[in-house]
Amino acid sequence: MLTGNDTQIFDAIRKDDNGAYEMVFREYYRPLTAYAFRFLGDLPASESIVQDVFLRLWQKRKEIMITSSLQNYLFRSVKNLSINYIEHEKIKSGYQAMVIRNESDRSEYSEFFLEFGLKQKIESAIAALPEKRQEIFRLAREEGLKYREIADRLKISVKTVETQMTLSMKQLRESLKEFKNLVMFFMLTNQGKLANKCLK
Amino acid sequence: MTAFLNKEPENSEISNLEIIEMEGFISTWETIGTGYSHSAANPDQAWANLQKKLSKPDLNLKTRIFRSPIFRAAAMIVLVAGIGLVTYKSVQTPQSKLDLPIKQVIAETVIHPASFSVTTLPDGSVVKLNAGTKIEYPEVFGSGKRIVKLAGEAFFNVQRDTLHPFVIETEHASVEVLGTSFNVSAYPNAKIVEVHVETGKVKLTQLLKGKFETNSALLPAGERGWIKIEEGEIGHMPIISKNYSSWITRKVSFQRTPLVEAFSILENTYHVRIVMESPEIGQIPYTANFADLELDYIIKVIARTHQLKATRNGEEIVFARLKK
Repeated sequence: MLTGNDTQIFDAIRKDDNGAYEMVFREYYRPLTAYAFRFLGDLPASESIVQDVFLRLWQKRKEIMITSSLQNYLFRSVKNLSINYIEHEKIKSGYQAMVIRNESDRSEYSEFFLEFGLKQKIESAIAALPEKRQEIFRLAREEGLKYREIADRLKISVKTVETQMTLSMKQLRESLKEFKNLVMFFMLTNQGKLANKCLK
Repeated sequence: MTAFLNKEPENSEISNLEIIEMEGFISTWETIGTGYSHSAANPDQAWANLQKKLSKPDLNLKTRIFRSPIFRAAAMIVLVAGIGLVTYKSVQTPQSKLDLPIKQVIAETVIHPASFSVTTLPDGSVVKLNAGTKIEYPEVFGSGKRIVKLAGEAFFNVQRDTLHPFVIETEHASVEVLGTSFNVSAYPNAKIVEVHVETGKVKLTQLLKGKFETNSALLPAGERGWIKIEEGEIGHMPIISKNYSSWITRKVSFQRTPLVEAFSILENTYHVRIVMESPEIGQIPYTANFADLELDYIIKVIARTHQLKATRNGEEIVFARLKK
């Protein structure tokens, strides 16, 4: 993460330094996409929002005033565009909308700068699920399908999808246990509120 | 999960235990989503698209020379010239007293100027040689094992022939396969021999001098195997280092990689020497992906990211802290 010398890099971009711009892009592309995905659960939409943020960053480089830090600016822009997107798509209720409503301004974005080890761990945890269960899980998590849609596509009952998902979640939570610290971190931040809200 | 979370809570009597379980589920769900989108996002593709979009309304972004066809053509010529530098030698070595002597062929690439070459073995297997690498093989493979000798680094794509196992002998290790593709790095002065298996299955054996018994490990596709020469340790893991084929693809990828490791990958890819003025520079974690870019550009980006100063003298690059 570039935080420390953020301001200088933004200054370089202002002075038309394409190299600095590319560097920022490469450094932040994945984390910002992951951040948008948290709200949208849709990869193409997430990537396109990040793309817009960067397009704007270059085109408006002379006008943009960054008061906090470049990192803050980028993550906030992604959040704002995600809100627009959600409103535009009329996703006014449901999980995604709830996530973004509960997203207060962060001072820390490190959870989106994923380490290679954790990525590998997550992938192998999913790969360890039984085949059918894994398919259901991926459709839900990676393609963002609703249970009904999964049930239709796989010609099984919604009840089965539900059961399989609960089993997947149990197993995954178990295998990602060693990242308890991370999980704790989530619980201490806004996720606790989120769970309460959805249980209320 | 979406439906699960969206379910109208009919039941107001929810126990704390259930809330804790729910929170665990949500965080797991989010972690997995972050992991998935992080991996699936494609910065290279996105950068190319962005360049296109930006070049339309205003031409503020300079077209970069290394993307132009002229540069590509130049690169091809360099590559061809590089191949030209490979030296082939034939040596007469009697295979056995009964057989007629079979000629040995030696292909060798030099480090300066860095050359990279592709050789086809008599059985049709294809070998890509990194710079500073020597490979020795018979003009015709005999009836037994297909044996080649390697010093340096090469990527093998071996023709499948179950009757004639393919064996690569290096100073400290032997690698035996049936038909597969994999990378072997066994430079004469290195402390480690590394094998990355892309397809098939490979048997890695440590050759202990003066001993009959050997250590060996069977590596399936997607595994990285290594021998630590001094420790006499052999090991393998189902995780492939991302940059093992950088010397072929010129793609390097760093994910919070300490600079000292990143530099050694760049050294192996671009055949330069990278020196750090103070060792603590090596501990700085670095994240970036570079695909087929010029070294000078990469060096500039790294230096700028971490407020370092890079000075290049021919084949040597020195990184120092920027003095304020």
